[in-house]
Amino acid sequence: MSVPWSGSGLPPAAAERMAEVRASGTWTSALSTGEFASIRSVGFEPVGQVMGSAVYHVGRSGRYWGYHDCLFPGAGYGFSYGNVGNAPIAVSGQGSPAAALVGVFNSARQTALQRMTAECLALGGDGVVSAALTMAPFVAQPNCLEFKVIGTAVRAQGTVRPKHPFTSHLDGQGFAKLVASGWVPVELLVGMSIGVRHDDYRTQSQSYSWRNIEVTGWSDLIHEVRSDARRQLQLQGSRQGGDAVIMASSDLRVWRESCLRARNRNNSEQEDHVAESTMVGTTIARFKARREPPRTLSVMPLGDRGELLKRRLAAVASSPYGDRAQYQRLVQELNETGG
Amino acid sequence: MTNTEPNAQGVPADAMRRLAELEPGKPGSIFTSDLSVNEFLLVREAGFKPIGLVLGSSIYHVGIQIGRWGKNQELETLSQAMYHARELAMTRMEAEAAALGADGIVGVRLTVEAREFGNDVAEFIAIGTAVKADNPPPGGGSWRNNKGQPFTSDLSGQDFWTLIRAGYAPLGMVMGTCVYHIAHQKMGAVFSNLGKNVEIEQFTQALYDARELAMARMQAEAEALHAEGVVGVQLNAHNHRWGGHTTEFFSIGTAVRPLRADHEIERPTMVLSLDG
Repeated sequence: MSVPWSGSGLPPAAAERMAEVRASGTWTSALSTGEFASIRSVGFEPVGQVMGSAVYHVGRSGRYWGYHDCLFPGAGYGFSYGNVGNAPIAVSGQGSPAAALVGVFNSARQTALQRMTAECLALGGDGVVSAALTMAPFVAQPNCLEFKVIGTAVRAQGTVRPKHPFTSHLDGQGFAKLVASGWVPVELLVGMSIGVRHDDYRTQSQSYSWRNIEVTGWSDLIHEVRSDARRQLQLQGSRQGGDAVIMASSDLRVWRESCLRARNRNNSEQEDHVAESTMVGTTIARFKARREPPRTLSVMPLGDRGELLKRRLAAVASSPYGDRAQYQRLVQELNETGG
Repeated sequence: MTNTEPNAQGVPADAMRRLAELEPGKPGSIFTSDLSVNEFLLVREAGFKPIGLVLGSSIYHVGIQIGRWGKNQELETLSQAMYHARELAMTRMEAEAAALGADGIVGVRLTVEAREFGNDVAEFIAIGTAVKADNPPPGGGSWRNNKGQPFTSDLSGQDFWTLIRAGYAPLGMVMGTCVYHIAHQKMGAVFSNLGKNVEIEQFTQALYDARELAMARMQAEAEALHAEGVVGVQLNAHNHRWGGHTTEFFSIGTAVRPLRADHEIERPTMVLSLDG
């Protein structure tokens, strides 16, 4: 039987685990040996594996929610009644109905991150490295999403404590390299944007043309949505401050929906396109280190490079932030070494 | 980045002090970058400051191509579509970078994806990090290319660092594309080769022609930039959704110019990795 929980603070099971870890002094971590050594080398110690999770019901498509409203006055009409080629792009960052949906995603991620930070504080940590943020639907209830973030809490040597624990997606080596060069991670951010655009007459005629032609409305849609996600990332980064954002991943999803506005107006079957962009990154801040940062040393490896590459490849393939370009580079390099 | 001694006296404290002093900043005071940590640090060390993530996209409807089933030929409508759409995406990204006052764009990723837009529609997306140099290039002049545009490069941060160290500067990404229809074999030819392992000259020649065309076009673009050479060339074949006999040959690389006469780099230290 689990203990009832009001929803504020940490869930009882988590609070209990924190108390136990704290009392025993034994830490757990998902760090590899290399990551562990790297973190130690810049003066940080792991204090424990921390997690934050939140399950939200997120309904989105359809009339009832109304999030994917294209806001096009000409929707539902034929060509001669105003449905020409000036459909606007309803972007969440500019207060379209989808802003409410983005708000739900943001608050779900925030809740998960706050719970992870709370666990980190409970263990006396100064921040979290290798935090991986995932979103997965429940199998039986696909519109119930679990937002989960899991990472390793670390503590700095010395007596100076930060105002808020930092969070970052960077792995142990990445963290160590940054700190050694005079940069410290601040906060894990997610910038998200949803844009909706009606397939107006011009868009339809462009996409059925027999000539080569750019579908300008769709280009604009993609561009607006990605720019908005970038703007959201920057806005979120300015909340706590910092100097730069290092990105972990950027995703773009595009799909079509039947147009709500046209259906409500005169039950006609028209379509909208919806684009959703999500950018994940970590803000970093520059600090003045007392020591000169190490210079890069170019090396020629004499060992079995193939094995090393294979391991890095496996790491990229299994990471939720695995970069496809990096994956391809590694595959290519591996082919070159004949491994 | 290597050789950090285990003794990290003061570093963690300095880092934590900075976090304790953090204050909310203005949205404009923070730049975003698409670089990994390694790349970020190496680009900084090469003397460039990342100033922002830049994007360009183009959703392109590909027109109708009339082709002959039994003839090796370039499908010009398709070639032009691939060219024009990539050009649009790249130019938009360059324009964003120019507006930021950038000297160049590093780590550019140019992708074609077919998503939900329909069968004849391709989506071209460019993303990269705009950078600004701390100092003008040695020997004067500008980091921008001869067209006054920020340079573009699809090299990783590591490759970029090595390139600058070796006394070269990137000028721009150059590409060549050729969409080619490889003729179907005639019935007679199929039968006469039945049960034999032989070369099909027609196919070999088609692949040659198409690749040569793509590479020659890339070469021409590099010449237009007055490049000394092109590094990191990738020659790929994409089938997209045109069926087995229609293939796009796409070559892309970074055109470079020399910054100084000698291109010596310091002798790399040899390392024997203990973990494999």
